[in-house]
Amino acid sequence: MTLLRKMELSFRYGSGYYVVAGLVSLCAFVIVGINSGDTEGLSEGIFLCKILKILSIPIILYIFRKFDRSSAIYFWLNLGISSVEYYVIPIVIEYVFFRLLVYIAPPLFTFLHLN
Amino acid sequence: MEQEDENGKLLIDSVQLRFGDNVVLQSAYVTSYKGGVTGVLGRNGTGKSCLFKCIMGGIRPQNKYVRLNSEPRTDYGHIGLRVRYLPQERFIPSGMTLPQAYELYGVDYEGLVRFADQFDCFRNAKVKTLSGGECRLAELYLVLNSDVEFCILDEPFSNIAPVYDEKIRALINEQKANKGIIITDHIYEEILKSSDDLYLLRDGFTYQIHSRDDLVRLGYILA
Repeated sequence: MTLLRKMELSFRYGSGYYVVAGLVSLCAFVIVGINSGDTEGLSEGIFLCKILKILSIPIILYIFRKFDRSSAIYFWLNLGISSVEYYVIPIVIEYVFFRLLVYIAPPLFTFLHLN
Repeated sequence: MEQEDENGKLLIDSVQLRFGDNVVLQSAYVTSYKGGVTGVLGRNGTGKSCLFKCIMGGIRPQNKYVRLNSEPRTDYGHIGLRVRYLPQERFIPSGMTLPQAYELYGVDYEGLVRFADQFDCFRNAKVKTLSGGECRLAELYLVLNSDVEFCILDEPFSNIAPVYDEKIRALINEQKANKGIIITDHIYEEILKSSDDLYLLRDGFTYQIHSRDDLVRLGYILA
């Protein structure tokens, strides 16, 4: 099974994680964007968002593990996804999405302010 | 059913598992051969399901050794590509339909409909709408008919109507021609009937069983 296929499957089993973690990322996007006019505030905002994002990952994972049926993981392990990949793939994909949002927020908000 | 040939063999050895001070498995082993059914018996809480979950990677034991065929190094991180596991509880995601699950596993859904015609009307139904027994039957058929080298069935007869017992036994016999099957159940007569090799898990160790007397001697059943 290719990594691309595993990523595609992660959108099925990790949809709940993607939605909640995605909302956290969108909040970070807005915070960074609002602070984009102030250089000092921007760097502090980005730092704070990164810390909060990293701290939110285990909390969200814990909540989903608590509510998920414990045997559901075997449906995906049976397809050749390892137990490490099962958790790591959604975290990495969503974190890349978060970094992308934080990266594009300052120029986007500046552009919107100018117009 | 001992075989000298290493091909078509799944060896699980030296499995050690403990949760805190609770030692579940001390040195468990099971060997399964393609073309055979390996039964695993044990009282409640002796670690049968834990052993299977350790093989699949759902539980991380303190130690385990898994080898497929004569491969010097088996990639058991991705063992699901070669070994499929039917856990005791429902495992198909509740928001999925059966045809979707069957498509992902590469198993023909029409085969299930031929096996039990009641599934003809479940094509668009989400798995969560199925009864426990219907879901169990669909999951059992899915795992048994997967194109893999080995299947592990954890209590396949539980929750299933007696009318299907014979059909399931026939299906296991049919599928064992293509793969090795490891099976556990508390209906030990079924396991005795279906198995070519038999093991008993007790006190964290595995004992090979050759006769019903061994089960009595090891305290699994009464004389």
